[in-house]
Amino acid sequence: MPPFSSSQSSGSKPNKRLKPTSLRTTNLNSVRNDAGPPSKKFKPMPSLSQPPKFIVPGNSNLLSSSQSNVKGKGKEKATSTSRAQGNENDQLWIDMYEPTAEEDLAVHKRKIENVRSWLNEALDGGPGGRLKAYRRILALTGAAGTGKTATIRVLARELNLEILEWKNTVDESFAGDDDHDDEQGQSSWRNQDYEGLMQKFQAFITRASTCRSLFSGPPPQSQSEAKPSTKTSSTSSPQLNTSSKRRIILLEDLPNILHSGTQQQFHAVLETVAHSRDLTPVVLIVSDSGVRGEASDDRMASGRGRVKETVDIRTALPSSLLGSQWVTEIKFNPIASTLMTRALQSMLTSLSSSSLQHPSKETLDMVVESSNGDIRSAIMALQFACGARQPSFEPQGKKRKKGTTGNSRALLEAVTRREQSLALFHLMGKVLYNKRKGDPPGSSATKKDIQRDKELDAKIKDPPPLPSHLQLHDRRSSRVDIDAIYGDSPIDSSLYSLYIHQNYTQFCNEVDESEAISEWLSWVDYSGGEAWYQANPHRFHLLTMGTLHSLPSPVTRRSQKIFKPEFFDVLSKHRECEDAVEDVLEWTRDASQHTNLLGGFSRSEVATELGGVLKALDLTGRHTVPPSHRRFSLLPFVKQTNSTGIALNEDDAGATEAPDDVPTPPRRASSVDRSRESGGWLEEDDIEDF
Amino acid sequence: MSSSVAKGKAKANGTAEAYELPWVEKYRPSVLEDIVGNTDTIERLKVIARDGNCPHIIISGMPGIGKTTSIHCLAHQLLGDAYKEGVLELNASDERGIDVVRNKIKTFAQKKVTLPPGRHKIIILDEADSMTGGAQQALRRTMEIYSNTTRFCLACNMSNKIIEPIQSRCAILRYSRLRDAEILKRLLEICEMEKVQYNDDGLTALIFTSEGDMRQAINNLQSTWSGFGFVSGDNVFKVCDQPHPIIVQAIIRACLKADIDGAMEKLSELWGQGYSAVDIVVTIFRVVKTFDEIPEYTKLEYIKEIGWTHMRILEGVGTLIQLGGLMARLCKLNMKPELFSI
Repeated sequence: MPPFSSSQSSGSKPNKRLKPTSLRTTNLNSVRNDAGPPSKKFKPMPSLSQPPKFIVPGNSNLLSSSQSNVKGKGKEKATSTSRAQGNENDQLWIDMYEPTAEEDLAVHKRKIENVRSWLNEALDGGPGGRLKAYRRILALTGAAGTGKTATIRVLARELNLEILEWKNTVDESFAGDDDHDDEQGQSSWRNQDYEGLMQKFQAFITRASTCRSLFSGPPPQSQSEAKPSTKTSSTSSPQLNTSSKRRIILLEDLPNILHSGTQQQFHAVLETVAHSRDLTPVVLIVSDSGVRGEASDDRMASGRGRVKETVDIRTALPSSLLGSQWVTEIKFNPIASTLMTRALQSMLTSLSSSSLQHPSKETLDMVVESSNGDIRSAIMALQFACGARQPSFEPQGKKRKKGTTGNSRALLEAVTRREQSLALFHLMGKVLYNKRKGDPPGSSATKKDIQRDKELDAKIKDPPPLPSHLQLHDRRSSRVDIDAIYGDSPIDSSLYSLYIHQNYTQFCNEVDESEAISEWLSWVDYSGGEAWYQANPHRFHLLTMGTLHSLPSPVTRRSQKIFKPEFFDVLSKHRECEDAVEDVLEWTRDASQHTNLLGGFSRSEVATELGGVLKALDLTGRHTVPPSHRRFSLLPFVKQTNSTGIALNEDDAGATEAPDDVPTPPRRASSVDRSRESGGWLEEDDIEDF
Repeated sequence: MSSSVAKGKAKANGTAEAYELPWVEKYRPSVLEDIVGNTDTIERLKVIARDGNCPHIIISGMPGIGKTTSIHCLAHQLLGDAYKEGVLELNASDERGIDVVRNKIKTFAQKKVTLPPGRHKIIILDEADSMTGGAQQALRRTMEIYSNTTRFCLACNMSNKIIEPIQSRCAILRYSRLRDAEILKRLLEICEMEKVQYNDDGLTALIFTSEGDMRQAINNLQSTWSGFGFVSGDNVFKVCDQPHPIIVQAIIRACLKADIDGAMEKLSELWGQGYSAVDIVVTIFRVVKTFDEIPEYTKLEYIKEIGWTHMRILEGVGTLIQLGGLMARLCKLNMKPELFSI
């Protein structure tokens, strides 16, 4: 790969790393060569407060490529209608219909407003101009597909900001040739002191705030005087400072912060960003990876040495910054079903002109309900299900159409990912209604149903008799084919037991029945062992049979609803509290250095005994107690009479109710929210205190 | 698992006459039309194969139900001759740490390949649930940036082992377990083509031993045929090296009659034939769950005891004593409790 010979000759050492940067940047490099690219100079990372003022070819593509990326997206909207015909087969819908204006976003207005005001304050300093120093890092968190990145991109366009996005680069020793033998690779690494990804990252952050991309237009202030001539460095050079106001750094593709060394360096960079006033503000996007739904999750939660396998806000940010005034966290909620339906519909109307098959409203509703607030997966599912027309169905009349919808329904069931799909609903219904041979037909049963039941019963043999001492356990034979539901089960046995656990009480009449089911649940749990290879492999069968055996027969119908397990909410609350305890522990250590009041607390002491003291300190307002303590010191054990779980419904209407508008879990959440707002979110008035 | 190792190589030397291909390879479907089961989903994949613009997909399901095969068929039908340069396949045996995601996958994603409109390069990640969390994190942005040139197809056993952000970027297809009838149909087709002699008992045994895993069923069919020249129940169990269910049924019957001596005698017979404790306990479970001579409650208690013993054996105590203990507990359940009062 020969392209960069010029830069190599001017650099002090031939640097293998520089070789395979993408072709796109070739002309850039030749333009910038006179800026002097000695790779040697930036290797020992200069302190970030005095950033180097040159552009190095190896990294310049970081700036420029992201820039061109933004541009490409801007163009997309303009031409999307005209070329919809030609190109639609070539792109994913999520790319084609990326929102470009605020009204296209399916995100709640208030969130957008929060982000916008942060951006304004970060760049212009807010109303008093003083907030700027504290708007250093914005962390956008929330589940995947809730519009975090889209919001930033839309607002950046609206506010005319330039987004500089960090991308982890390709390591050249790999990129060049896949089959270089190890020795050679090793030696070449050793010879030319290899610049790690983290050094590049540090350099990127520094450079992003001082250097301008050639493609960016002149800064808005200068627009009147300087002609908007493009691609000249003459306008940009004297105005480095003004231009740096109008840009933000977007960190989405984080370095591997699960590796502790990298994490430390990453944290160090962020701290520098936070404490400096000159560097560009950073927007950090952290998607919740979510609990993976494994049995090991709760064990990890209970054990102290919880292994961090997931990236979340606490791993991404150093503890010193978490909850500090330099960091603002905005949490995105799952997208409300009304908003999502609207967004999908408007997307489909722009589609309808083209040749695509238009999905029915029913299909759309199903996509929305099964996406669980994740708009990206909703669009993905929609594209997969309705993307191309099916010629075989097209010419037929109404009769055939009915078949199509049934077909697409079955298909969507297979496509959508979330557990509350129909399959799960049927599974739970089959088990919990415990239908047995000879059950009287339900009041709503049609003739056909009765006939079907009869046929089924005829096939089921009566069970052989139990020995006399076990007569108590005699049951009529079950209509449930356990092997069949095992084969169709969309969930593994640990999640299955969570569902049973959440729901069994509604279906029992007597306390004995509940006792028996919980006995089986506990047996299944107990025989799980500590690790996957010890797990009892027959748990699914055991639990199903145990539940069927213990339930009354027939189960009294009292319009039971099946709920999703609360386990995961509880688990994440548990983790939050654990983290809060950690915060307070940290604080006591700090505080003990100044006073003799506190110190020497253990974790459990903090959790069990310190609550009162913390509340008192809160009231006096003299000490800066970390506000997160309220998560464990204020535990109003308020439980609503009915289960607070979310109903798992055949048409799952309740699941995605606008979570933004309803403060669902009543007191606790709101108190935490308030505390976060008053403590975490720094207002203009607070500034005098610092 | 030997079959999965052979998987990759087989295509290359398919022409050699003397060497007999594993039937799993020989009869591996090469077009989506031939794939058994999951008709709705496959139907959809066919449309995609014809029209192009394949979204990112995750296929999840049990082993041996055609996940990888569907992806390969899809890729072949989409790319045709360009398969070689247009597809990057990585499975669990390849190194798939974070640096590979960063380097190999990204390099491939950046590569220029001339493809007809609507076609994209495809990266196949087999057994994606075994990827580390970090590697999956690194993947997520890559998927987005290069989505206009490269699409990802992931296959995994449990889709909940894939992190949410990736799930969010993919259409997720859940394959359900193959029905016995579906496996039987395919087995019959292969028997026809290979001129295998069989009896019904043999086919039943193949389906019993495969537990819905097509790959295993075909492998067992081939081994039985090449080993014995006739597919009968006995031969299949010999080849699969599993205790014969008839003997296990006899054991269970003895337990139901609380005849511990009879049960132990049969058990020792199996043990003497050299079956491991895991083999025996697994077969006992399979027999019990479908054995209709057992009342429901007894079945439940039996499975409880079997599961418990299975767990102990997996923990490392695979001894005859464990199995004997299981026999004793199974017998005791059918004896009057008064007999045990002191």
